[in-house]
Amino acid sequence: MNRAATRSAQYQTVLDALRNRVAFQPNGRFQSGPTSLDEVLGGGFTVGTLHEIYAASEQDGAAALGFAVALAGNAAATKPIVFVRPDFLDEEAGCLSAAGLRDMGLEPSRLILVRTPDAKETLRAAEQALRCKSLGAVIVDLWGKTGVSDDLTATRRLSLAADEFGVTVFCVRRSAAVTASTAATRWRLAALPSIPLEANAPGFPVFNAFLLRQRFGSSGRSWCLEWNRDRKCFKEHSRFDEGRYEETPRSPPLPRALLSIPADRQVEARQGFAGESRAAGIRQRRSA
Amino acid sequence: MRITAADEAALKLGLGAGLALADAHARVPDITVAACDSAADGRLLHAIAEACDRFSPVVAIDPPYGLMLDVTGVAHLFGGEEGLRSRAIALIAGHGLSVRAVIAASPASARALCRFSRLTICPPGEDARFVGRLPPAAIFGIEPETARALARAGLRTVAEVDRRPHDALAARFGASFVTALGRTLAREACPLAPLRPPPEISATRAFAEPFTATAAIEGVLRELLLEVTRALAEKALGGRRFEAHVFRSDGARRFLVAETGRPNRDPDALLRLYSERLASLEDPLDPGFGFDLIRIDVPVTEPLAETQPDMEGETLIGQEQVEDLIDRLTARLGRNRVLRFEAQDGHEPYRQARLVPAIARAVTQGKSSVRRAWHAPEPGEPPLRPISIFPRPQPIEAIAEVPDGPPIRFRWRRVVHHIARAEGPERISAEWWRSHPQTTDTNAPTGRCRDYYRLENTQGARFWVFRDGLYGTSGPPPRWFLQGVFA
Repeated sequence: MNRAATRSAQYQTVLDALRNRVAFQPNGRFQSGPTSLDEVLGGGFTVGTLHEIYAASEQDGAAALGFAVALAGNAAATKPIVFVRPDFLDEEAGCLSAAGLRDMGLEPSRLILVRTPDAKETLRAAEQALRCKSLGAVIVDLWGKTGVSDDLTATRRLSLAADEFGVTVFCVRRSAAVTASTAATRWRLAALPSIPLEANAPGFPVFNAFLLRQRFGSSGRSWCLEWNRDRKCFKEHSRFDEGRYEETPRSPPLPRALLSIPADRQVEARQGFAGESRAAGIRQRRSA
Repeated sequence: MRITAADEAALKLGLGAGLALADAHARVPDITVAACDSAADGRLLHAIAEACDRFSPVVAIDPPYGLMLDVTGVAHLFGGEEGLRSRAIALIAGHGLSVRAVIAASPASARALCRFSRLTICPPGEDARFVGRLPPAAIFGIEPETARALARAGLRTVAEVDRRPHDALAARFGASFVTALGRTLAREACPLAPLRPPPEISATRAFAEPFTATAAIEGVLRELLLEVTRALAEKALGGRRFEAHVFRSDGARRFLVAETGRPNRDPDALLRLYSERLASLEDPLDPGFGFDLIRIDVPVTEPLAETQPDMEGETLIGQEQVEDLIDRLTARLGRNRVLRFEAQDGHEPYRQARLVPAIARAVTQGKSSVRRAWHAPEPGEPPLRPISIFPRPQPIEAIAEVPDGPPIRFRWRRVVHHIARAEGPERISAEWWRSHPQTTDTNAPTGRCRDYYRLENTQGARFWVFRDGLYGTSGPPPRWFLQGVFA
């Protein structure tokens, strides 16, 4: 009995040690703006991990790229950023524009651009870049399949390297089917109509970010996020509905006087509150 | 048609250069004639010069069919001067050419002895004696009229010419003739104009037995790098560019370069760069019959102090780490694939920044402190420039209000986009000071003034579209193009 007790105590200490090893302890977190997003992510996006961003359709490639650039600017406070992409993407989806980067809030001189011949070299160069501790973030821009027979191994190597040296890596996947990976968070990104400025001009970029998977947390929620370059944070809007956004948080309805409508008599429609005349019409029909 | 060159058998029969072809046919009916192609001859001579690079990095071409090598101090690698000469002859004769080689104290005297005598190696200090016996045509760079004038004057050897008072010769034939005479007699220095400038520091390993194991090259490179970095350390220099030449026994040569962003003399880091380079070669090094000589040259060096003063602590080490990463990526992928943005003074949108190799950055930063700053974007404005830009604008079909309305809908890559929001036009006129090449490509914009519009379609995708040309002006009708996509 004594021996059994000591043995179970030993097992307990071993199990606790293992649990601590296996428990996800990120190197740090960085905030992105809206509190609901940061809460679901457990305090913010994790530093030193792989974040995958899938473009929802062919048109949303640039949106996914913009999202990754915005997050990377926050992840790497002042440190340099390495951007790796295959060179055929220049013809397919366009080159990176320095002015565009600056308009998204990223200083172009912080960026090191690596143009690789194919997708396999892209992953290899990204892994090599991750071994440099002094970088802030690495953005990998991929089109289609990764070129490696096993996607899981490729992303696992990236996340291991990121964890070892503490560099965050963002992987933008265009025109690719979602496959299993060891990413900390996986997003599906689409562009949404922006809130117009004067004279019906397009406003700040708005993204629909759907959290497909979170490694240690809940998933399955989507956010409408508007990127504010000057404050370098996202602003959340409620769901896009009938061509308009509603400002969040939606305030609870205030108590106000309700009009009483007689059930047996006809009520003439009044201008203004369309809901009232509709309700009156329905009540009338029911009674009739 | 005249004969320009003849082989030994023809020379024995009396058919030499300058003879008319008809006369030659008349004398000897069965002769083989080939058309003279001096361009191909020049290329062949260049190829042989490249092959002779194994003996010495200083190789000069002596037209029309000669080479001059500076073999000062390299003879010991090939078993003495005799060994060097026989190996050079074997290398070139192995390709089916008849060759004669002479080693002497100065290039001009070696050239004279090679063309006009049967001497093989001129003993040091005896150049004047041996060259003196040659005819005046052997003087380096002599004109035919000068040679004829000397013959008419009865001077039959170079020694006789030399005994004449030099100022009389200078008065008659020019001062350059006297200099050429001095150079031919090895009295004055004769500089060579080599094909490639000789490197400051260089280390060579020659193998008596050619080896075929490609994996052994790294070991040899390590030894050579140790030697080279020791030489750099003695002179307090660091190398920026390291060139490795790997010679095969049949004359072929491969060339491997490792570049660094900062002056470097750490053999381990350099060996890592070379391993990356070897690993990324498209066609791996083919040993053929074996490698028998490997040389490392350091053509570009910069001063490098003994120790780096560590003023900023962590930041300096961080910067070095990033530059080390750039070196390794450049070694693997190439100089033009690892890039940085540099601001440029440009009018058109995609000329406002250009991509420069990241490895070249370190030098420009040290030399000039004027670096153009980026224009800060206006606060409160949405992105006015797209994140993805097509350098060649994509033609689209658009329906827009005339004369300057934004498109209502357009078609790009077979997808129709209905526009919900638009802003514009932003007029960016063409860079009139650049001459636009007149292209007949109907899919390219002409160099006219452009009106840019920021568009957003009903799904939310945002585009940057321009109209090339204005309605109502003369010329071809305006056309619409897509320049970029916003986030």
